[in-house]
Amino acid sequence: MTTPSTPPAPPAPPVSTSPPVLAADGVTLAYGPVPVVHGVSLAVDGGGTGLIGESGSGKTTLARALLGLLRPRSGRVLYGGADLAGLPRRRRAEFRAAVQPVFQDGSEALDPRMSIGASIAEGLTAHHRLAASARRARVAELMADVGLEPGLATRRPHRLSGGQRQRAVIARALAVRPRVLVLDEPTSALDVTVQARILDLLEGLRAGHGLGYLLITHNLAVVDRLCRTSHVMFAGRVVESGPTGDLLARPAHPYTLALRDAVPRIGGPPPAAGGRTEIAPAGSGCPFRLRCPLADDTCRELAPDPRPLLGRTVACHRAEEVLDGAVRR
Amino acid sequence: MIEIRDLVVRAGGRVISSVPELDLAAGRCTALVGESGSGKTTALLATLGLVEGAEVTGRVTVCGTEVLTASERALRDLRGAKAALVMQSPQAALNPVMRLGTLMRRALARHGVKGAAARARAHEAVSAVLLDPAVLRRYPHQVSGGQAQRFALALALALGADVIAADEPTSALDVTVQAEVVAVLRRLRDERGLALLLVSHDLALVSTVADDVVVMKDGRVVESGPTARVLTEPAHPYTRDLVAAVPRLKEVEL
Repeated sequence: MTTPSTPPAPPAPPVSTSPPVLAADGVTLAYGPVPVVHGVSLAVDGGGTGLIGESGSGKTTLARALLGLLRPRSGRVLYGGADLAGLPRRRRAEFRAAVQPVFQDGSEALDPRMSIGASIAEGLTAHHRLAASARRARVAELMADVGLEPGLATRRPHRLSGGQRQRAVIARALAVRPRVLVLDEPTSALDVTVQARILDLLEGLRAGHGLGYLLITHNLAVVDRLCRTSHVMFAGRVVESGPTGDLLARPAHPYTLALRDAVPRIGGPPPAAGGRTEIAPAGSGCPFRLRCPLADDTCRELAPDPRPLLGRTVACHRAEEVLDGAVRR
Repeated sequence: MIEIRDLVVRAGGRVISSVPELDLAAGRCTALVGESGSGKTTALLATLGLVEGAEVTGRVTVCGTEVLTASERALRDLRGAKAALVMQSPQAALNPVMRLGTLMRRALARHGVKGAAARARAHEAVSAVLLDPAVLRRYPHQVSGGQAQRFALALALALGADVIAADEPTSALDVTVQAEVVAVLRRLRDERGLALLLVSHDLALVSTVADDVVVMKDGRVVESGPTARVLTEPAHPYTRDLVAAVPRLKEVEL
């Protein structure tokens, strides 16, 4: 396998004053009567947006809404500033090309009966009319972009490695010239050396293709590499948002802190176990209160609203104390 | 507790896993690390005599039992008591129609521990893995992945295991839950003197629990030694690649 030449291009600064390509505005989502995502707002731009959380936090459900696969119970998904729900047909088709998913397991995303080349070409024919020769040339170009040897085009997915399959999935997503990739745990099924190369690839592609990333993951280090802004979700709510570096260096929400300190590090201290893992029952009070070492009567009675603090947004009554180091390992 | 000499597993004439030498004492943890296809899981299974359809040669001694020459019955006795296997998704290994307490009681009964003695043993083991004894009344689907994994460790403890062989015991778990399981593994090693043989692809995780590491690639050991030395000053280029590839959080003050 060849390693693509990936200049370490820093993410382009968000210069635009135009609306972001993709955004959520107060989105609430539910399966049946129970909401699983509560009033989440975020924007995806060229700096990369991270969505961090554990199983059941609602991050994948939110991603489905941002891909137009799930209609919000309330709030809006915005494409170029326009509500997805009211988008005219032609703009809707444009949206479907512009926002492309890349999921965890490449073997499930590729048709096992089709060659990789045919899978990548499928996107081209679905969205553009192209002559056969032009199509072949474009497939070759896309495969080169993601570092796949041209000879692999005739192979079926099962004859590729996990990393090669994930590259093919990325190539297929790029075929329709998207503006945003929604990456849901794109590297967590891969070996660590393969994961590192896919992250290099994603970093390099961003500048070349002018892409925005929404990266959904439980892996803080991966977010740290690809996303300038991050949102931390707990129990369907964003509990802290802000510049990724600040969030991880000095968390203001006790959950962000717990997530960070649970990450094992080579040569670091043992990961901090957080005690109980329950989510407090719905209703009044902070959903994190059962796990929070600082929870007091206010936290038990009153759910904290998100508020601005030091260039970020945090939903915690006692964020100042968290910043001051009130929670010890 | 575990002694391996010249272990070689061949399938179709090809070596799929080999470990020339490994010694694991009580109260210690050794981790087999490597990527998919490195042979680490095969080595673990061979240590417990669980490899089928392949030729296994060499010498493996676990808690005094010669694994490669032992009878099926002796192996069952070994695996049922002294040496426990813990897999990646414990919920799949637990009988779904039985409460955890029933599961534990039946396992103990097979070892002749019954009634009040069994109840006491179950409570003690569950507390040792930092679980609330109330989980014994639950069914496997009613507990979280982390609780199920800790219950699997409690089961091993209750049956008197001296050795726990664990294959990626935390890779299906969220990071905060993983931290709890790691805390329990460290406790079992330090306070109960259990010997842990761990298989993992996660070097950062391994660095927090293993005393020694064995780095494997394509069925062979490329490097082994004390964890601190191997992961901070890797000698083999492959180990260096592995360590370099671990995604890192930027250095933050802690």
